Amino acid sequence: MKLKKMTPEGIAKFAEYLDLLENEPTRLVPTHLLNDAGCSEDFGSATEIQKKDFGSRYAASEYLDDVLSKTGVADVVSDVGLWAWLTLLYFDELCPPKTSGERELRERPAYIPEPQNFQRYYRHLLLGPFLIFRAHRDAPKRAMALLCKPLPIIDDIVAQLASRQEFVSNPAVVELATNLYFDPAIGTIKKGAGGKGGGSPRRLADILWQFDVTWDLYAMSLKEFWAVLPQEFEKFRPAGLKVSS
Amino acid sequence: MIRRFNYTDRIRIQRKDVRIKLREENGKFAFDADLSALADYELPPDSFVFVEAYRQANWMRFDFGQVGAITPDKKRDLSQFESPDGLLFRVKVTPNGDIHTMLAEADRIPLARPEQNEGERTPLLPVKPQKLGDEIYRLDFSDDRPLLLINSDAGNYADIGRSPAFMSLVYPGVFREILNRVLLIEKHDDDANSEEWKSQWVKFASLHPGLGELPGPDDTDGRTDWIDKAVSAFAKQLQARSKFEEFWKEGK
Repeated sequence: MKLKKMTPEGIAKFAEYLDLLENEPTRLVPTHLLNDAGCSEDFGSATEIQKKDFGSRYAASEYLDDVLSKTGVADVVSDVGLWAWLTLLYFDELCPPKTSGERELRERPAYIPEPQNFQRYYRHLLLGPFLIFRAHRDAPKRAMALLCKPLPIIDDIVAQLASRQEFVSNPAVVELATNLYFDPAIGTIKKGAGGKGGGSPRRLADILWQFDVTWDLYAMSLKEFWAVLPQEFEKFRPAGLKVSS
Repeated sequence: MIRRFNYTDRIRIQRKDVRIKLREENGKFAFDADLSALADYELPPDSFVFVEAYRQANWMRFDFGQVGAITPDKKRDLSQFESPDGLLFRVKVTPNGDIHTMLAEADRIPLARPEQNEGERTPLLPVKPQKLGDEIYRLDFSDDRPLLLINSDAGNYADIGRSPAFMSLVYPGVFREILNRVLLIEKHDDDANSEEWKSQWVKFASLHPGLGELPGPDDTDGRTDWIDKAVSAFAKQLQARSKFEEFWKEGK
């Protein structure tokens, strides 16, 4: 199908659906808005997009990066209509129905982004991972700790690191988080990485926050981070990891 | 978020000493930075100066030479950012060499648009409309400074914010919530840094009459009393009761 964006009327109708869904969790998804002439319009140069199941934030971001690069539109990030349309297209994966048919909604910015809220961009279930992917486009797998989970899930690693611009935009910090918490053998987060205690993402964020006062974090290499990280993180250090840079 | 300690006596560069202007050339955005005031700080002339631009997950870094010889990167286009909206800048000064400690820093510097006046300031409590479900307002601390969100579905947020009912019932509570956060949770103990929101709120509170000196950070009871007095004085200054009566009579 052709990639589109929602018109203001389309966004209002989608928002109305989300309001109704809160009280009527089995309400049918208004997919007709995707091609309704008053609710959706063409986006950029004619670009094909497929409805598919991604399985992870990474797969979705990789696909959307490829599709959106073909549109010829420079600013795809701040277009609320585009992201609302994409959200509706992939709504079954972003807000999947349970066996009872009921859907459990997250907060509104998970589905309709707030373009002016630069601190909470990451809460949008498609735009958030897409921005992280694009920020690390030169080597996106370094951000696997932030991108490996299924689309509806914003875990503590994302919440702690993506909400702080100093961290999420820093290649060495993001690679450090992936080294610490992502297990490439199972393709997801290591067991025990979701807690709040020693070595947890929350502790990492707090420690980096303190380091940020003293160190120029953007100038530090991954090797330097490993050298100053407290002992509590050793349990997450990959066996045999050799850090060269 | 944990408190941060400046163990290394990093110098805080005042935001007023850094001016970053947006420039547009052939449809592309770039910036110019006036860092001449760095010469007034006691920094080694050979220390390195960097300017970083950031927003969301994107970040760009520009080399600006040394404190004693500011030489901006020739290429200062903001190519990683699709628009300049919401861009913030950080100025860092680090020692000459491979040690990445920070000598001085200024952070969260917004772009001064060409049409912006030199003296424009950020309000102490910015107010924004936002969908909040059944909540009428919410105090949001997720950004650098507190933000008062008013439910955009409840009516015109500016009119709501100015209404006697809202002012009398909400603002004293908001004031208390902010002071609790600053003084009891974060145990902030400074009102001298005019650039930091926590210090600005402590300063604002302490300007109310009859409060006395702010008790130390570990004197929780003393600080609680101090906050009570501050909120009481604030409500008096706001004429909260007469505003409430105005609303209440209208409600009858």
